[in-house]
Amino acid sequence: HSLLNINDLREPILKKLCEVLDKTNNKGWRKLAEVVSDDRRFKVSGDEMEKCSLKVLDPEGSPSRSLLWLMGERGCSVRNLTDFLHKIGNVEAVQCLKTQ
Amino acid sequence: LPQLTEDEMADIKKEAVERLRPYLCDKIIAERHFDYLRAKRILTREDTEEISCRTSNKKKTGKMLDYLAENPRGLDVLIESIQHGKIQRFIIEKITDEVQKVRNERLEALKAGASC
Repeated sequence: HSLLNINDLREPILKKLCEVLDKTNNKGWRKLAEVVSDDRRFKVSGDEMEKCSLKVLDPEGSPSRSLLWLMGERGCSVRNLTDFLHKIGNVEAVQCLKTQ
Repeated sequence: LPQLTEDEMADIKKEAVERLRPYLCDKIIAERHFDYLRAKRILTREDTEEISCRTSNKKKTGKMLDYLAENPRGLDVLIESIQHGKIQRFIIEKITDEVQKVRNERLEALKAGASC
């Protein structure tokens, strides 16, 4: 369901999605946060970005997971996220959401 | 999906610091971090004296990175110290992105190994 909050996605989907977004390329979580921040509802601050990035220091931490959690807290739906992922051109991530 | 152990994570951080060594030696002023690193028991007084003996800041920071590499918490506490200093926080982005890069390479290698 496209109105589902992203925090309510099933665990395997979130896991796969984070794996895709944690890749360090120009379509990863940093780029996503940049595009997301253009939308006032979900704006991510510099401090929040830093907190997300520090997750990579923990064996089980994921910057993407922290970012998605923040976005979900702000009411981001699967449809919203799909739009953002289209904007950054991350086809692989969009595919993850289609299998829900 | 393979999971990383604490040991592997420590190794990844070490590798990231090595790859960033020229950048970090250029940007970080070693002496600014002495107090914090000593308070967190990452450096001893002897270590800081040994570092201060070097002639240039580049060499000082280089020596400091050598000491930090010996401690699995070394990089984490250096990042805390940079946060604490409130300036140069852009370095944190650079370090975490590099850790991410090395980490992804390791995970790919682990996955490839597991599927053999």
